[in-house]
Amino acid sequence: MIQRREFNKLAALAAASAVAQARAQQSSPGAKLATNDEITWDKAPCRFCGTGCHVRVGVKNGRVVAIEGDQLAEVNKGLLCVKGYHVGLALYGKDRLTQPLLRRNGVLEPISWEEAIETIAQRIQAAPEQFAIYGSGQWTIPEGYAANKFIKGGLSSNHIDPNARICMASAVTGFLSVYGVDEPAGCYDDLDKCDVLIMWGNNMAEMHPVLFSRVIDRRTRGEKVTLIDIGTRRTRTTDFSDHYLEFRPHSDLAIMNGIAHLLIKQNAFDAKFVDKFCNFRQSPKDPNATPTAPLLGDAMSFDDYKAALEPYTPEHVEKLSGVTAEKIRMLADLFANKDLRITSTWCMGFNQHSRGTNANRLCHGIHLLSGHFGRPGDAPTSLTGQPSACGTAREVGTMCHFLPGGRLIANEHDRHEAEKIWNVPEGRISPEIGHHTVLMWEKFCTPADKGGDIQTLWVQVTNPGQSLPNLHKLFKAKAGQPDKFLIVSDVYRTATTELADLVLPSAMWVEKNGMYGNSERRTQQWFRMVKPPGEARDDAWQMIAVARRLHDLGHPGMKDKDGRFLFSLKNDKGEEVPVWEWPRYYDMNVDKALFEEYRLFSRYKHKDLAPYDEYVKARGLRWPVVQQPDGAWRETKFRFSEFDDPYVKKGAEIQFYHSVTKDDKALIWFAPAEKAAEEPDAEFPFWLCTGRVLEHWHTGSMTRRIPQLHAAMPHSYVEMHPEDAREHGFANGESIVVKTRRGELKLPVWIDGRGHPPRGSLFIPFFDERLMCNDITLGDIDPISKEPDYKKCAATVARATAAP
Amino acid sequence: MLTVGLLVSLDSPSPHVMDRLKAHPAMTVGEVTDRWLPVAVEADDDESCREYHDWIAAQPGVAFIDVVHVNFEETDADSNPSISP
Repeated sequence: MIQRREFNKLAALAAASAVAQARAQQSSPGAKLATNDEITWDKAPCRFCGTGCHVRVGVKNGRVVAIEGDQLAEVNKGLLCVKGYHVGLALYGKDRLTQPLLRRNGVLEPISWEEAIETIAQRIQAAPEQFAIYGSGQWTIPEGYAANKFIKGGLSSNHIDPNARICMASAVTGFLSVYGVDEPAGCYDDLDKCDVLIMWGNNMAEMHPVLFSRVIDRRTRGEKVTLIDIGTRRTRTTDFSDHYLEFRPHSDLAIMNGIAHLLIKQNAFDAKFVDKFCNFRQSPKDPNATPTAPLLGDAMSFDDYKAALEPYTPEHVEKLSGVTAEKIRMLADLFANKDLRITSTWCMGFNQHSRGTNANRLCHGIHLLSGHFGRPGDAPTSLTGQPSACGTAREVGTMCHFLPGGRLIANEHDRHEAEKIWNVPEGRISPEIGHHTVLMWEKFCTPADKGGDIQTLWVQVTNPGQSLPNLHKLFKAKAGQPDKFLIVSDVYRTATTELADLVLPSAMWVEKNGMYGNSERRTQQWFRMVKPPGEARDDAWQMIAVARRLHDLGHPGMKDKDGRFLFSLKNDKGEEVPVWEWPRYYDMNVDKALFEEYRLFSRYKHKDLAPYDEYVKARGLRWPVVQQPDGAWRETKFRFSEFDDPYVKKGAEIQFYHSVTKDDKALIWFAPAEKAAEEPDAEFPFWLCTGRVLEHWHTGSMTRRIPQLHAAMPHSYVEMHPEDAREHGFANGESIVVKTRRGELKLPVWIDGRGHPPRGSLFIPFFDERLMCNDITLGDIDPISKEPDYKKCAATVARATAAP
Repeated sequence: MLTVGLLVSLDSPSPHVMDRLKAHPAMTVGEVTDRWLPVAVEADDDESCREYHDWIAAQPGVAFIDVVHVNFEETDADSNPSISP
């Protein structure tokens, strides 16, 4: 025991020493990886957020026993956050689901996998058009691809949407309407090069701590990097920032219009860049003219744009936002200075916003207008919250209006291309856009005779019973409707399984092969390292097994044009393997087969992916990954910039080659500042904002089962300004009631806690399933992205009259 | 027993802070490289681990702490909580 302890200590020290040396030399470490004959190490991306850190996973006797930051990974260079270094323990909660459960007489009872698969297949066979899939940005790429192909290419239905809809859909519509193609042009390297980092409603210190550490590390080296935190409450990010600009909720659009106003007024915008690379756009007069009308907008001239910005003087913006005119001028002066390199980051602050698309557009707009684009360190970059929101939801296209590789359901050409790759008959893919997340759950929770056209809903790798907004309406209303059938594939019981009719135990993370795609277009791969507990099985297998059962029941959609099963997969020797039989599933690498098929989709929008085996060798590669004359595969760090992107024409300097206007130009949009859907009033005088905490990942279903994280943040709370608390007579830690028009929640108040909301403002994290803030959130959606706003609604507080 | 590898970023290499860390019975200090100091921490439980982390962070001259390695091989396999509703 002493020997082992000593070894563990030396291994920890060796890992830290290697990272220290790498930092000092500013190089990739790796020279001194700890080795131990008893522990087998392999690489995997972290299971939690969208940063995409790589971990080294130590396995001993079939169990994950150690985690360290992967020193070969460019993303995290050997570092991890508090969640990352505990990620291995997420597998070992005592109450892992280990067998399928079917609800009978109100009780979930164990059944066989055969019965579970048969039950699902029969529900779908009876009414395929009333079936929907609710997936996830935690689906691996092959899992999402299998689900997408199954429902769109097999069932001719587009009722599939991921939880990424409630996470980053506004970033998608922002990128699409500005550049004509999704996802950031830049990458994390911008954080290493920028002179100014503006975090727009983005608490990077707690939500993307490894990226934040990367910036703070530059300061430790003596580099000057100015951090600006623009937010609605003080957070740990504020503590490290040079400037904190606190704005009135929903007024961020006014701030960005104020910057654009000054850039033009002072003739400080980059006229050459704008003339050469940009057009101007505004919202269309008829947004319903075509499905893509809101993304295309109406053309406007520079003079029209200038006139639209005219009211947004610094003084007017101060009135709207609460940010002083002086600070607005400071921001405009920074953007006016071309000697500086400015990176903007955002996450849920812009995205979970009922004007989220416009917030995204305006941020891109001030970068384009000022020419702060296309050089390392000059970039508007959205960050994601899930490990494969980009890889699976956006790139695989598991949303109800997408097909893989950036194709659109509404586009006939795109549908035919997908049909060709899938070898299914022309017309197999329905032209009807499916239900987006909020609509899907609304339809599922509405009785059939009142228009609820979804009767069977299969949830994989997510917990909507806690994460959807306005839960009483969008989730809990399912209760008491016996004809509605909820299937949930998960690793633990959650708020969602509470209403499930069928629960399927899933394998998670390194219990299966997988691939993710992180926030900077980096596709990552890992292999199965340990076996799942009990009868838990891969999510992709579950989908394929149901497809096969439907095939055997005679569903015509489960066959391709040549009569072959939709998931007829061959091993490296070209032999078909019946992977729908669980004992045969790992007789071949199903991930590799699915990925190689999926990557045929990737070239169309220049999101080129390399062969699977290239990802086995790498710690991820950023697309487009283009093969070089010598056969090597080269990733792309900076899209649209001639110096790095191989698809930019020589001499073009910058080329937006998927331009909405087909002239290689990006769009600078005008969008007015508008009122929020629900603002404080006499009855509900507080703003209520919801969000995340450092220790827990999203709904906490994994991190709350990790003792270290659970102990560090055991329960939810409401943050409140001390003066508001004093006015109401609340003591720190006292249980109070927070009430909105949707309901009420009793929880302890935290005064001068980790976050510091201003007067008249409250904050509640959403990780705690015992104190679910989404019982009371509004969830008004952005009309373009259909993403709900979790950051703003009106609330009131009262002393709790009974014990919690 | 938790074993954790920490990378401590210092404002500047200071013998004082290194001596303080070296004197701590739960810590093993590696060789400082420029301003980065590797430290291995052994803790009986998570609470002590956090206390040690906070103690290091409070030392004058410590700018930031990153965790780079965690070994939970000797933690009780049944210690993970069950939180099913």
